[in-house]
Formats: sequence, C-alpha cells, structure tokens
Amino acid sequence: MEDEKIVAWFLDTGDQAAFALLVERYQDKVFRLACSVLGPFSEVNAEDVCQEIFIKLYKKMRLFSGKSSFRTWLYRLAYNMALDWRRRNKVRISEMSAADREALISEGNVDDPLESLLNRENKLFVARALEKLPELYRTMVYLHYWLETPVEEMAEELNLPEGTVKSYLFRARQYLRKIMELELAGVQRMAGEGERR
Amino acid sequence: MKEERDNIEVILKNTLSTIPAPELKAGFVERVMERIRKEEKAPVSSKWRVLIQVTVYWVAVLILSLCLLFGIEMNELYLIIVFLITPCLFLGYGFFSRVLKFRRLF
Repeated sequence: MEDEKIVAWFLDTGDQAAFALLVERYQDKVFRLACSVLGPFSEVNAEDVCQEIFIKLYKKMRLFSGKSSFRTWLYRLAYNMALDWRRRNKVRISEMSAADREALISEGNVDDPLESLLNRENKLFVARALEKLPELYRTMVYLHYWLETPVEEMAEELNLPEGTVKSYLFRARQYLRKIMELELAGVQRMAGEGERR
Repeated sequence: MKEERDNIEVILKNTLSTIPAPELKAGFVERVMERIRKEEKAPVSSKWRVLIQVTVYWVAVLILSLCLLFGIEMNELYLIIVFLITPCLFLGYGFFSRVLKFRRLF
C-alpha cells in the first residue's frame, strides 16, 4: 500500500495500526539518518531521537499537505529534529567514552606497534576533523562513507538532486582536506616551537 | 585532482569502516506505540502544564508585589528596586520552570 494511502487511512480513522505500519516501514531509514546526524557511537541517543521523531509525526500528521511525497516530508522532519538534538546536546568526538574511542581506533592485524600507534592517532585525527565539518557535509560524509548509503538514496533522504549530492560530497572532501591541513600545520608549528625552546 | 579525491576517500573509508554500523534494537515499533499510548493517557498535556506553571508563577509574583507595595514605604529607592527587579521577573520564569523540571515537581 502507498504511503499516502496509509496516511489518509490514519487521518480518517485515527487507527494506530496504520501508524504502526508507517513506523515499521521507515524505522531503519530514519534511524540511519539520525545516526548520520548525531555521528558514530550515538546509537542510544539516535534511538531516543527516532522515537521523538515518530511521536512528533503522530501528533503533526495533519500538517502533511501532500505537496511533497510523504517520505520526503518525513525525512525532512527527521533531519531537522536530529540536528536540533545535536545542537542542544553539543555532541563532540572529544566527549566519546573510552570504549567508543577504542572501537574507533581498533585496528585489524597490525604487527608493528609503531604503525599501529600511528594508525590509531590518524583515525582520531580524522574523526576530530570530521566533527569540524559543517552540519550538512558531515551528515553526508557519515551517510556515504560510514553507513555506505548510495548517492541515489542520499538524494532521496536529503531531498536534493543526485548531482547536488555528488557536488556536496566533493566539497565536503575538499573542506575536510583543508581542516586536516590546518590542523597539521598547527601541530607542526607547535612542534617547531617546542624544538626551539 | 583525481588522486587527491582518492586519497581523501581512502582515508575516510579506512577511518569510518572500522566503526560498526548502527542497528536498531528489536521491538522499536512496539516501544514507539507504547509511548504514544502513554502520552495519550497522560492526564495533563504539556500545553496545560505550561499554562499552569505560568499562572502559578505570575500569581506568586503578583502576591509578592502587593506585599512589597503595602510593606515598604514608596520612595526613590523603592522605584529603583522595582526597575531592577522587573526584567528579572521575566527571566525568572525560565529559571522557575527549570527548577520544577529539575526537582520533577511538575
């Protein structure tokens, strides 16, 4: 059954079974979208945000005008709510728990301890740089590279044309490169000052 | 340019691929529906709650003002105090509702 028909069924009858059908259908996608906004290791929070999204959807369903598809409308609601939550709670990679940090920097089979250490530091460095990206770019990078969402799906979830998604991903990578260069320059400058002293 | 793109992509993939993909715990739909049922059954909706809080706060402020009005002699100092306190009263509501939330009184 089409989404719009289920929405109409729910609005006409107030039947919770209709609403449960929508939750069932979109729970995974909304959850992944929330995760991409909140970042890695925020699953518990992402689930809470997800619940809030569906509760808000339940209350505000009457506001759905049908100008866009239901799916687009829901994704927009989900994205905005997750972003609001993130801004209110100021999620940062530096506030990650020790276990999460360990999971992030866990390495496969690297025999050389020095190489392993460098890999761990590099990963933390990239993770911190990612957190400095603008919100939309960061969400896109997480969706594409962490959650392995194809560009077509991202375009649908973020309500953007595919070409725009590709161009934003390109800009995100450029932005990330600049952030990493600046960070590295800062580290090198500090190291240079340390040597002079 | 192509090489640069590949480098950043490799870095991103290497970093993010080690992070496990999140999965929603089973029974999510039931949990959402349960919360909806609970919220529908709740005796006081959040709008009413805010309205009651605002009423209680401003009634308290009114009573306090009347007490001050009858208890203190009207002079310049009184007016200065009123001018200083008035903005605090408006900001005070935010603090009042936070205290209520923190203590879970309402």
